[in-house]
Amino acid sequence: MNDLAEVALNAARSGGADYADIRISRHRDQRISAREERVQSVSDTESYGFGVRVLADGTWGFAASHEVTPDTIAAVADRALAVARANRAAQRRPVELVHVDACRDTWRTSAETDPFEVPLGEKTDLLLAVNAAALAVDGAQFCTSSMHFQKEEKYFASTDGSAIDQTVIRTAPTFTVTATDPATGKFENRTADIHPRGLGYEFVEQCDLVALAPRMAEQAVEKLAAPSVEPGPCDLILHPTNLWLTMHESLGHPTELDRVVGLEANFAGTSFLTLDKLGSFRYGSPLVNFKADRTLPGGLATCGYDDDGCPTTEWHLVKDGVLVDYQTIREQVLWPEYREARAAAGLPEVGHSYACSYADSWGSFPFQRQANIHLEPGAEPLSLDDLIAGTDRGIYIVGNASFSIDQQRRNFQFSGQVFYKIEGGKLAGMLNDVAYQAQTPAFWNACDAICDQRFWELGGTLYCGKGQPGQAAKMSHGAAPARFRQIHVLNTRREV
Amino acid sequence: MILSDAQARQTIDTVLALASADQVRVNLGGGRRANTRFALNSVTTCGDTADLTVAVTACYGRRHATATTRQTDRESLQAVVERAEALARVAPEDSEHMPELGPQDYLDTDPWRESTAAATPTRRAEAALEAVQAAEAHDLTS
Repeated sequence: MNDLAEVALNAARSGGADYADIRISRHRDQRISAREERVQSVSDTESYGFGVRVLADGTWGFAASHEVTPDTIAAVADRALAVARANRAAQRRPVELVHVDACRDTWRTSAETDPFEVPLGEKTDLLLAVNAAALAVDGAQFCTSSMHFQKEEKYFASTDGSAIDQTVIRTAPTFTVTATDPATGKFENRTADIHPRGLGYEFVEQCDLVALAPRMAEQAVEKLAAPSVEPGPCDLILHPTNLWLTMHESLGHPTELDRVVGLEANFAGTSFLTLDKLGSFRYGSPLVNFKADRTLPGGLATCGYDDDGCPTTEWHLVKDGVLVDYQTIREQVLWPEYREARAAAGLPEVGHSYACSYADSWGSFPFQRQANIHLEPGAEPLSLDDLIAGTDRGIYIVGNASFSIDQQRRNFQFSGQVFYKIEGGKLAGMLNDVAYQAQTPAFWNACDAICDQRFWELGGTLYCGKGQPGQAAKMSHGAAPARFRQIHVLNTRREV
Repeated sequence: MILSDAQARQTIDTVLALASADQVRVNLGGGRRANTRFALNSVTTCGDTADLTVAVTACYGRRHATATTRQTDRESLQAVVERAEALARVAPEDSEHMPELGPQDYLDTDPWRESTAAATPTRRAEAALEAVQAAEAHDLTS
C-alpha cells in the first residue's frame, strides 16, 4: 500500500501540489432480506479503488479510479492536479489547512465477529425465524426482515507524512411487521427499535430478534385499535429510539459549519445556528448538553482518524443549554469568520480539526459529515418509570418514523412508531396518529428531565444524505429518555 | 471506465466461461463521472471518477445470489464468480424467482454525447464562473 501511495504523492509533489493525499479503500457490503417465509434477496458487493486529492494554489482537485495500478495512480494524480488548476479561476476563498501532526498508525473496529465470516445460512435461518415468530401473532399478516453489513478497509497517506490503515465494520439488522384489519382495510406497521451499530455480528445476537418479533407484532396489532390522538399542547416523554432522529436533524445538521456559513444548502438547508450565536445562544434548557464524539466504541461514525487524516476526538456542541461549538474539518478551522466568532464569544482558538471529514467511497470527495452526537444523560438518578410516574398527563413516544424540517432547521415535526397516553403518572393505553411539532430552541428549552446513564442508548443511521453528488454517511446518536413540557401534538390522520 | 463493445464482450464472456451455475447473469456497468460544485460564489468540491462494476448473479434452480467486483482481471473475475455461486448454493429457495429470458434481440442505442464527453475540468470551471460572475454582477451569491 505504501508503495502505491507514494506513486500518487510523488506525482502530486512533482506536479506542483502544495498538499496531496490518497485513500485506497475496499468496501464490502452484504444485504440479505426476507419476507414472510422466503428469502427475497442476497447480495454481496465489493468495491475497491482509490481517490487522490491535491491542493494546488489553494484549490482542491480530486480524481479517482477502480484500477489500482501504479500507472493509473500516477495518471489519476495528474488528473487531480488538472482539476485543481482548472478550478482555480472559480476559487474565491483559497483553501488553507490547519496543521496536523504526521501519523503512522493502524486502527481497528471494536467488532468481535466479522459478519462477513458468518455463514449465510445462519443469517437466512435467523431472518426466517424472526418472520415466523412475528407471524405467529394473531392479526400480523406480513413481516419483512433484513440484515445489512458494511466493512470499510481504508488506507490513507498524505504529503504531511501520515500513513493510516483503518478497518470499520457496521451491522444493521431490522424487521417490520404489518398488521391488517380486513373489515376496515386499515393497516399498521411496527418497525423494530433496532439501530445499526459499529459492531460485528455479535450485535445481531445481542438484539435477540426472535424474542423481540412477537412483541413488535402485538404492538402492530394493538395500533389498529388504538384511538386517534387529540391534538394540542402536551407533555412528551421521548424514548432514545425516537429522540435520536430529532437530535440528528435539529442539532446535528445545524452545527455543521459548512451549513452555518452557507456553503451547504441542499438536503434541508443551511442553519439557524449562525456564528453570532456562538457562546451565547440558549439552544436548550440548562439540562441539555450535547457532545460530539467520534471515539465512542460501537458508534457508526467512530474511527481513529477522519478522511483528512486528523485524529478523532470528542467535544461539546451545547453546554448547559448554550451553543458552544460547531463540527469542523481541517480546512474550516482557519476560516476567519469561525475564529472571529470564537474570539467574540470569549472562546479560545481550537487550533485543530474536530475530524468530521468523511467520504463514503474511494470515488467520493471527503467533506464535512456529522460525528456521533449525543445528548448527555441526566446527572441525577432518574429511571424511565420515575419519569413517567412524575408526569401527570402526557404522551410517551417510542421509535422513529417520518419527519419534516425547514430550510434552516428551526421548525420541525416528528412522528414515531408507538405512542402511549400518560395519565396520573401511569401508561394508560396506546394512542395513534401522533406527531409533535415545534421550533428547535423552544423544544429543547422545554426539556425539564433526562433519565440517567442506565437508560442511555444509541440510535443512528447508515443513510444520512448530503453533498453534490450525494453521499451517504453513518453516525450514531445516543440519548436517555427525556421529557419536554407542553409541545404541540398533531393528529396525522385528521383531514384539514 | 468507458469500455468498447469488444472490451465489454470480453469481460462478459470471461465471466460466463468461468461460471458453472445453472444460470448466470452478468451486469456490466460503469463510466466516467465528473463534477464541479460551487457555493457562495466559489468552487467547493469536485471529482473525476472512473468506475466499473461487474455484477454476477448465479442461480441454482430457485436459489440465487449476486456478487460484484470492480476489477476485471481474470483472478478477480474468478473470485466474484466463486463468491456469487457460493452464496447462491446456500441461499434458500425463492418461490418467486423467474428464470432468465434466454437470448434476446435488443434495439441499438446511442447514448454517447460528445458535448458531455467534452465537459473537461476547464469547461466545467468556466461554466461555474459564468454563473458566479452573473451573480456577482447583481450583488448576489450563487
